[in-house]
Amino acid sequence: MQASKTNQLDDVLSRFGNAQYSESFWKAVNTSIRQEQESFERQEREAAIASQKQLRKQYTL
Amino acid sequence: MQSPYEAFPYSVDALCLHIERVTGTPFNQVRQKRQINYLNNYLQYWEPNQDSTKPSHLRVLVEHGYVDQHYLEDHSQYFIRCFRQYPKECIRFHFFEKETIDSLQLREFLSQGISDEKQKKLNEAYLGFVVIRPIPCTFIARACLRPYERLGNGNRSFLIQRAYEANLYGIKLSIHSVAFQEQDRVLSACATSALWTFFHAHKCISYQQRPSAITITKSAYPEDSGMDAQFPNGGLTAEMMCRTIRMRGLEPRLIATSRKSTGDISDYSDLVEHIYAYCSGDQPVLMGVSVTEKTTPKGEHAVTILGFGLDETVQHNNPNHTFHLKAHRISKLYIHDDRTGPFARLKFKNNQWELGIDNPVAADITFNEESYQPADLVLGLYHKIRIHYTRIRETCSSFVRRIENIIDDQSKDDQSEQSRYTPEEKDLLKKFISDWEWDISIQEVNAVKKRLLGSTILSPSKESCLTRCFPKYIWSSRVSDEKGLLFEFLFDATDIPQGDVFLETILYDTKVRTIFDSFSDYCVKQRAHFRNQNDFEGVARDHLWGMIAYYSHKKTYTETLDGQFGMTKCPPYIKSREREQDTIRDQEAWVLYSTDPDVLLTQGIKYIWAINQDGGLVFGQESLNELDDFGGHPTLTQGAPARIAGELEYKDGKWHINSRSGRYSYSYSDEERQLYLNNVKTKRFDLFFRQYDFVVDEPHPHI
Repeated sequence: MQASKTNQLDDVLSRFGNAQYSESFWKAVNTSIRQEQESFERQEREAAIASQKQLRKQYTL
Repeated sequence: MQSPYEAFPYSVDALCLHIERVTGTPFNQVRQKRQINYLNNYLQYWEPNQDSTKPSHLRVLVEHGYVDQHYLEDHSQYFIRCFRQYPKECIRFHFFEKETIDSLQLREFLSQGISDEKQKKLNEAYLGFVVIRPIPCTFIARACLRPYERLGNGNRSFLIQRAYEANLYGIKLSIHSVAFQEQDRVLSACATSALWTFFHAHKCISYQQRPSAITITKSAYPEDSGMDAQFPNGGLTAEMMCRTIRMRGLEPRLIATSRKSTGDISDYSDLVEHIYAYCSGDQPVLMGVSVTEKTTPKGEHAVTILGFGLDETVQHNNPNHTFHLKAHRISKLYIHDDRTGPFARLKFKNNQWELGIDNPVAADITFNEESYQPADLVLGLYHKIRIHYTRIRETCSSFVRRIENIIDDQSKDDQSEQSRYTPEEKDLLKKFISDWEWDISIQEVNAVKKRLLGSTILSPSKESCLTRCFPKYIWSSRVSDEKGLLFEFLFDATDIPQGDVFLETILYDTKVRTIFDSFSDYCVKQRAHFRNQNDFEGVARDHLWGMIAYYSHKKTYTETLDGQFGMTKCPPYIKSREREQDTIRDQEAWVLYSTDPDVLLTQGIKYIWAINQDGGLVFGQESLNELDDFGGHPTLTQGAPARIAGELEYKDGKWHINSRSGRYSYSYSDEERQLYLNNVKTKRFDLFFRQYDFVVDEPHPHI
């Protein structure tokens, strides 16, 4: 069963060829990139604010 | 008079008596001290005799009158001004396993010398040393103890270690460890001690540059500080720790890992990812933690992370990321915690980090049910490391998303002719990609090349990887599946955020080759389309564009010539007849870059030829004796670098070309020489001299 899965994967990978690049493909890619960028920028802002807060914390123990 | 040394079987009571006498700390306080309890448990790992009623197999050697560099500095700048006279001499305990040494043996070594064999044996049994400074209560000035073997650098754990040497009356003892120091509550609080260890563990800080506690604390305060008195020190803020790091020539970076509620899995992921990325690259990391005893908050504390342990069965996935990271397998952190001891263990359990010791024979040690809640990390990096972990993680994540996009594009639901995969095959492919485990860490170029030298690489060639000039620091992103390593991305850690950053893809397994071929095709054909859609106002979050630029790169003219005729090289020697008045003779050879009707070949003359740096065909005549005016190949080029060279002679109705040249063809294998020679025939002689017939001779085995 495992060997059969491996062979199937090898077969699928060997057919991994040039993409078709349809309009819908580019639309999906660019929507995805934009969302990822926005999410990342939000996280970076949060991290910067959190770091600023941490700067004044004193380690005393 | 005090004996300069004493040696005895290890016992914690004997140790405490010595400490009491030197520091003035009452015996009961020493015996109950948390760090002494930890040390006692730590050493049990090497104690084969677990019956406490019998003498220990471990040996302790006490070295009296020891002068410790950093305590001397602290003493001369602070303790000497106290009304009470604190001595400047410390004592040093050395620990050995396997009953290696006693007082009589040491006396024998010191009176008669020590053989190499005995010194080697002593070194093998050496467990390290602890320096005790002569002040009450907070007396551990320096401890360098051998870490447990299983914490060494294998697949399941990683630990930063540096080489230390202890000189015992001329006997050299060496150990790999990282020095530990307890805060003295005068010149140092926990943050100073954590920084002290941090500088000991840092590769960029040499032995001479390692600062003492008083230097660290003083440098943390700004010149115009209106803050409280520096000493006795009540602790440093993260900002002050960053200032000290910058004063030592490193670039500090503060990463707040706790932004949400306690125990949030995103907090855990951010924490362990950063620790893995930097620590596995031999960079120590400072960590600020909130200490809780049961449910009662005790305060803020700073420790130094020196390593981690991985649990192969655990996978803590961050819901924000679509791919697996090896970092998420971290289940233990190894820290130097001045409240506890060296190489203390923080174990991630029930969404909390529990403090303990990673010693199976001392499993019952407890620390008042304390847990540490990490709040932030402080890095101190080599100043040229300008690209940070999150950008590399985002680039890898973007790459995975783009591959998934390509799979989607090739698997239309309507099963049209364009559809390459069935839904089942699409799921299989997506699972294969989502099961990849990404191992992202910063590494020095020498470490990367050493690893590549021992690896089997499919492409590019190992030689080109090893000889290529890379930046000093590289982000390595290695990807594996359950069967082994598949590929690796290398990124320039010293580039600027808007730079390409991407350096190279190294393939280890053939099964991912088609994926990269397809991705390359995507980059070449759709580059403009892709880039024009990304009109971000700021700097992009990742370096996928650098990757696209790499895959859509077209060969330059020089790279094409390198592939066709080999790389340029200087002649390895010049014959005496090829020199004239200390200059290389020039036979004014023909240099052809295209057909020239004026240049004709004459039968009966033996020609020599070379392909020069610019791809031109240079040819002239060969010297046959000492008296004629010609010379060998260097006289064609005046000694300049060339790619390949050989001879040309008319025989049996055809012009025969070979690659005989000890100056320009010597470094090629037979296959390479044949390939380049065929290219010389078809792309140069056949093209430039269409009126003649050329044939290639078999490669000559010895040139």
